[in-house]
Amino acid sequence: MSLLSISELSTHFRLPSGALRALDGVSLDLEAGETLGIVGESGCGKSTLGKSILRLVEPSAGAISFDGEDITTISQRGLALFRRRAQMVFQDPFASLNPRHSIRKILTAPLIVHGIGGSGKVGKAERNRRVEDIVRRVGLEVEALDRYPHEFSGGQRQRIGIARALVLQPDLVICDEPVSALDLSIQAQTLNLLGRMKADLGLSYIFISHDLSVVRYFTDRVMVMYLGRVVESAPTRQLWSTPRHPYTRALMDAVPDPARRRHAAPIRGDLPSPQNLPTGCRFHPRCPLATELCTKVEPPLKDFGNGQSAACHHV
Amino acid sequence: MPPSNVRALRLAPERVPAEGRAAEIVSLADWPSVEQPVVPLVPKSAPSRARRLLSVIGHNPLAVSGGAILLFVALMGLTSPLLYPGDPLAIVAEPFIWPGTDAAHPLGTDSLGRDMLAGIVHGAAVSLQVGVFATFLGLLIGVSVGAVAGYFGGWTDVVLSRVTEVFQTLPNFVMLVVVVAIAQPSIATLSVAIAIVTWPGVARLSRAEFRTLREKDFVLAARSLGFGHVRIIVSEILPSALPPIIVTASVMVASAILMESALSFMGLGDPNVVSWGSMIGAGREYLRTAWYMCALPGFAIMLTVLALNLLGDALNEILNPRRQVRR
Repeated sequence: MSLLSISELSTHFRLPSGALRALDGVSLDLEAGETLGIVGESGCGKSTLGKSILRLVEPSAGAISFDGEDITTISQRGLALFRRRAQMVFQDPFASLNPRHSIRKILTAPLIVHGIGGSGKVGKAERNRRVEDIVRRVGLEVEALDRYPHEFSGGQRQRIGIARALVLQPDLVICDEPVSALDLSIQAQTLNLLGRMKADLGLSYIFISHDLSVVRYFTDRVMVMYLGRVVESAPTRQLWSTPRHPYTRALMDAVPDPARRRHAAPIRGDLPSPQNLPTGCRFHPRCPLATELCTKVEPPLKDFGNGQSAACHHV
Repeated sequence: MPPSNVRALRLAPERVPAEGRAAEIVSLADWPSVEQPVVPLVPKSAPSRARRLLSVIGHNPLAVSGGAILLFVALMGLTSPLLYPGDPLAIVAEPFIWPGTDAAHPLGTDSLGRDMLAGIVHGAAVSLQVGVFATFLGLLIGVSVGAVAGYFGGWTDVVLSRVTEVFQTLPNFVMLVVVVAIAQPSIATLSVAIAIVTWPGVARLSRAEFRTLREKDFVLAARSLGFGHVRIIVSEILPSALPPIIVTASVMVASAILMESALSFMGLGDPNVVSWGSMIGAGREYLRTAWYMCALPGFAIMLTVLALNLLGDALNEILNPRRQVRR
């Protein structure tokens, strides 16, 4: 059984100017120990997907099953237990730590909320032990605990963000662009840290990113999203060797490559507004392969074997 | 060839790890070039937040002068039972002694022969009590309503915002007079009445703060960690929402003092205590012949309100995040 199984998940926002279909019928499966990458342009719904899985935004339809339990209809108590097991690492290490709290408080509060360690002096000692352990694991000194977030660099803050996500010993961590706000050298350190934590603590990751090189390096399987839908899903290596969907191919061509001198052909036009979606295939106004059919009928995900599937009429 | 974008990152070699990844990632972690085991911290030089804040306040002339005046008034109020142990409303001398003519009554006496200085000293206690209680109550109601409305949004927000607006559209002073007329005037009822007319402003301010702050990543993080609503409101959001509220509070104390004075001037204050407003009210008939009876308590009010406004301006300057260079 997969750790996380999502079927036909939709999240729509009601705005004064109309409904915004940020997420429209997304399905995925995540095995324990797997790292699933989610890529796409900004506004394609990848962050909304992450937040919907954790119920930080309420999904409008669909089911999320975590370890066999449906998260969308779970009781308050069940939700509290789920929160212990699924965590998030945020993009902006400056905004995601409360500037008014010391690192010790930031890392201890989750333990207190979930009653870990118990009460009294023993509980406090146990929580301190855990907090010190996690701080060392993410490569910071124990002295860091009594500092405030503003005393750290971006990379160090992201380590704290990772420590906070891991202090409850979760099974699933959703990394929402965890390195895109960091310098390149720090990106590598942070990715290596995430990789080591995964091996040490037996985690599963959903890794949201718009950076294809990072995703290619870090994930086992990739889902490509476009305007709230999955357009292609495949094991990472297979996606890079044989990308099927024209959008996936365009994305890969858009990555600058020093070995290839010619200019990459950009994707035509801009991302349409998710409040005013194109008919038929959502990608057809920008697609080089688009035909009459694409403007009318939305293509279903076609299975290509070996775990690869793509939603296009012409591949 | 697939685009070898990996190189742009300078972290991966030609081979791209794929299957059986968990094991490989561990081996990636000990690539010598990229991973540094422990990131050294910057040496701790900065003093604690509180101490830094105190030193900033100490270097702000507005804060120092406002604080000094306020401290003086507060000391006056606190020591009033020692300075003038008797009832300040008792007749102690001839009426109409001008200030500076009688050493026993340095600020003279009023039309009934009550000591002016005793009145002003005791009045300081009353004014500050009303100012502080009313502000405390107003903040309590206003911040609670604003926090709940701003944090939860939706229907909760709609209902609470309408209630706030209803209170805000009522003419303040009329409302105040009505409340005091219904209840017996005392320091407690005056404070409650003033809080009832001042909380909507605080509510709107804190609602706006909470609305912005609830979208912050650190609040999302708190939610994903399973924090309860109360903990998020009180421990996560409130500390960041406080600075503008503190600034407002200092001005609220000033306006509460003014409202109390105005009520007492009209004879709607507590008849059993002397307050600056009631002293002005008692002296107004003799404005032409003995103007000091109005001028002295008036000066006391002006000075206190000025001090509070200076302090408010200074706090605004210090706590305003846009002007805050070091945090």
